[in-house]
Amino acid sequence: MATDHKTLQPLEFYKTFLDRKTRPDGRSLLEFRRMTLNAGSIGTADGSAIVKCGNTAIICGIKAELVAPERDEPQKGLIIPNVTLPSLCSSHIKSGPPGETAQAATQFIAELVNNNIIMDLETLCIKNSKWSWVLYCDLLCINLDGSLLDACVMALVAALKNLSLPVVSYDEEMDKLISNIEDKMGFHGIKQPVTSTFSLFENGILISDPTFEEEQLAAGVISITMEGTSVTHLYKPGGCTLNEKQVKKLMQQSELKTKEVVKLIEEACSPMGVEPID
Amino acid sequence: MKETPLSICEKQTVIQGVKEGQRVDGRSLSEQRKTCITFGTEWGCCQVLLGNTRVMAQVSCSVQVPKSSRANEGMLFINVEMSTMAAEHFEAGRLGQQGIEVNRLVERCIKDSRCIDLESLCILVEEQAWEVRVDIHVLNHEGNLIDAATLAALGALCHFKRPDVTLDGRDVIIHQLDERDPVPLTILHHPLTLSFALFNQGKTCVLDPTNLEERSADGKLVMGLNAYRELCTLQISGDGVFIHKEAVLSCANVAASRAVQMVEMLKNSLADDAAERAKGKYTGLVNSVALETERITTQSQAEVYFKAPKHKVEVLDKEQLPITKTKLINDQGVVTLETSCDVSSSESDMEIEPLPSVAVKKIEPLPSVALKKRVHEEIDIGNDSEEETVMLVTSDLT
Amino acid sequence: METEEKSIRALKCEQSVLSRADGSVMFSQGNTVVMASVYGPLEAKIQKELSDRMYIELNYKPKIGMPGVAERGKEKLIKTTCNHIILTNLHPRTAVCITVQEMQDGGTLLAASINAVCLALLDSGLPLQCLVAAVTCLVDKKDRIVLDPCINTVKEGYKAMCTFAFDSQKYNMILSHCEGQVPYQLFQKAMELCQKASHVIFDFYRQAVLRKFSKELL
Repeated sequence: MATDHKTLQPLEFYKTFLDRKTRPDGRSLLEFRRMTLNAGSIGTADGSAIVKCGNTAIICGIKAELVAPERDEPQKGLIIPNVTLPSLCSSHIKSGPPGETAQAATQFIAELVNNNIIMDLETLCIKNSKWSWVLYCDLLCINLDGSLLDACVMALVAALKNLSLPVVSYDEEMDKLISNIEDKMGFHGIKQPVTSTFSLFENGILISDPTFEEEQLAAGVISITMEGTSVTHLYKPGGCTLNEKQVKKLMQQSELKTKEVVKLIEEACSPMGVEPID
Repeated sequence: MKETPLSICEKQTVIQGVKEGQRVDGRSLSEQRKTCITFGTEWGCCQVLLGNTRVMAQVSCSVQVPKSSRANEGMLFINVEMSTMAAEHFEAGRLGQQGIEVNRLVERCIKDSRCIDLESLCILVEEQAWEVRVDIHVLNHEGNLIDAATLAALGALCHFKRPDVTLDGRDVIIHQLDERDPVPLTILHHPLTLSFALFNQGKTCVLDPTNLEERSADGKLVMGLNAYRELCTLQISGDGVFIHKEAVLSCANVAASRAVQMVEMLKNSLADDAAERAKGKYTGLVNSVALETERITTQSQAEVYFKAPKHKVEVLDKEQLPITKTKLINDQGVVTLETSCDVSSSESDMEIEPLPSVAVKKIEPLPSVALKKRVHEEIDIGNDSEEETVMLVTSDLT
Repeated sequence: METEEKSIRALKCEQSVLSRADGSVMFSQGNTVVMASVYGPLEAKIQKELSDRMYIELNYKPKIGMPGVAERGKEKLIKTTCNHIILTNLHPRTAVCITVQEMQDGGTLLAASINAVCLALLDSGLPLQCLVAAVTCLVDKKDRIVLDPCINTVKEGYKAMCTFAFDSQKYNMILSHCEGQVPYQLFQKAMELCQKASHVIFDFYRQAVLRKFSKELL
């Protein structure tokens, strides 16, 4: 009976839960799902992390290369994020070239990167206009069950924290790079932005950390990225409207989540990661 | 979406009309539609209006490694973009047969006639050269896309200026536009295409066909010419159309004289644009939103002012954040690692009311826009409505 | 509360500018020029057809080169905004095709695109739930808020650039997009300011509709 109701009138079905201030998976409206984080899980990558937020699972691997920096920004390195949603991650994703969801997620991460929200790109430069690191960050979704951006940002930050690269220095006289494979280093100053996604329903109800099903039914979505207590990015692509009071409420919620995630990343990365050196 | 099919009677009307020397829009057989060329604020942006057909071209450049077969030359790349904006049967990102034809003809007319001096685009032989890219956007398809596209591409190339480059040993320094005056491209001649629709088994040729005429015609004759009356492209297409050589020659004569006029017109538009720019406060394409009587246009005055709450500029301390974070955490007790942020216990004060009305009340009624110079025009639009007159607000442009 | 005068740049538009589209507009805000066209309701492709509402296809076309990931991001922002304002459930199993063409970059392309799409939808006569007006503001390096910045101000560098869109019913936020980092207080102020500024754009819409009908009736 309940399954019939769910299939035929998914929104009505869901609203009966919302009216009772609960959700089908037993969470209350503003409750987040359980998060698990494992850093350094891929041996062949320079930095990696696996994140699970409820059923959403993302694996992030970073491959580093040395290249000449871009001509117009000679003092900066590059971080190239790429979010891949293979058809195995959800029945709603078709195989083939990246779809809209994947491209929008890639663009979101790229915006965070280019605005120095994740790290200062200048630290990736070894020698102005000669050599800098380029970090290819591949984010592969293994299971898509909503709040993709939250998991992606978390995986990326954890993988960057886990990054360990050979120490490379530039020799002015010889005009070449000297590296020592034995010495490993990480990067200083990786910031800890945390994205929290919320779904909005027509009658002003807000739920946090929506599942895929909830995202499909909802009338709008908002992703708040915070670092500590300051808002670094607020992404609300259309959908139903929000007033200032609701925004404030969401800010408080995301601040709570930010604290948790930061703790989680620190815990997961500190014993495994290599001590960063200057 | 499929194109709306053409009915037999529409087709017959056009064919019958052409036989009698008449055209649906009242032009004579060798008359072009009104052509209008406008330029944008960026270098190399040109919009062409050929009747209602509207095409925009934008030229851009980047430094690339030259081709090994032509190591001392720069490159020219022409790309035609057609999207659903132009017509319902076009698809964004896919050119289709018509698009490929347009792209190839523009390439033949401009690239293959070598009107741009590519050798001057080389910076370092075998190492660095400019690649000039022309993006042609078809905005509205009312027939004769080829002529509009070539004119827009040529206009954009004439208008374009690339950053200046100096060589310091083997180091290439590219000067930004504000650092050093940009350099225009070297244009050797000005080739244009002129299209004719062929009716009556190639006996009648109609210059600058509209969409309706193109679709009713037996075939098409495209000629590429420059201002020296030299032919550089020629294409005849259609299903089994044979055209007499005399007809081709007479078409070529008509086209040659038109090409001279059009190049003249393009040069005049470029000169006007340069004069306009020299005056300062250049607004580019904004001007093509012309306030003409037969078009539906609206304009606000130069800057619209409104009252806004005054903002202090200094950054506030984090302590002043209006978030009761400490209280919230106490409410829910200690949150352990690896758990979800269970905030259900604090939900009672986190609860969100259905659409609180506070934010709505804050909003003041629509601010009265402080229009300084206004022209009031009263138009009677109906007698049944409560408001019998409507104020029309247009700004005084003087 | 103390007040100060703020301004947004000149707004100008031409409706029904393209002869083939069902609704089209060329919109300029200062030196930014954007063209938008609407075709619809059309027959939807089978794989795109939605049984309960209209499918919205939105293409954002950059001036130079092919649309890339950045354009897809913009498309998603505009499309979801349209999803909110168009009464999509009135035309199930159909599609509407909206194209936005960037014509001249004068600083605030995203906001201008949204405003142009709204005007084009108005011109096409599709049933809408409400209108939408987008305003961009910029927080410069000295933490000052610059409303509706022009291209030169943008090029000088900034701490953050935020674009907001509001609905015409309760002036609530429909869209927010933020580049760069900004403390929450400033963000809130920027939002408030843009909300005020959106009234000017709604006023302009009203004028535009008035012009359209007065011309069509005469």
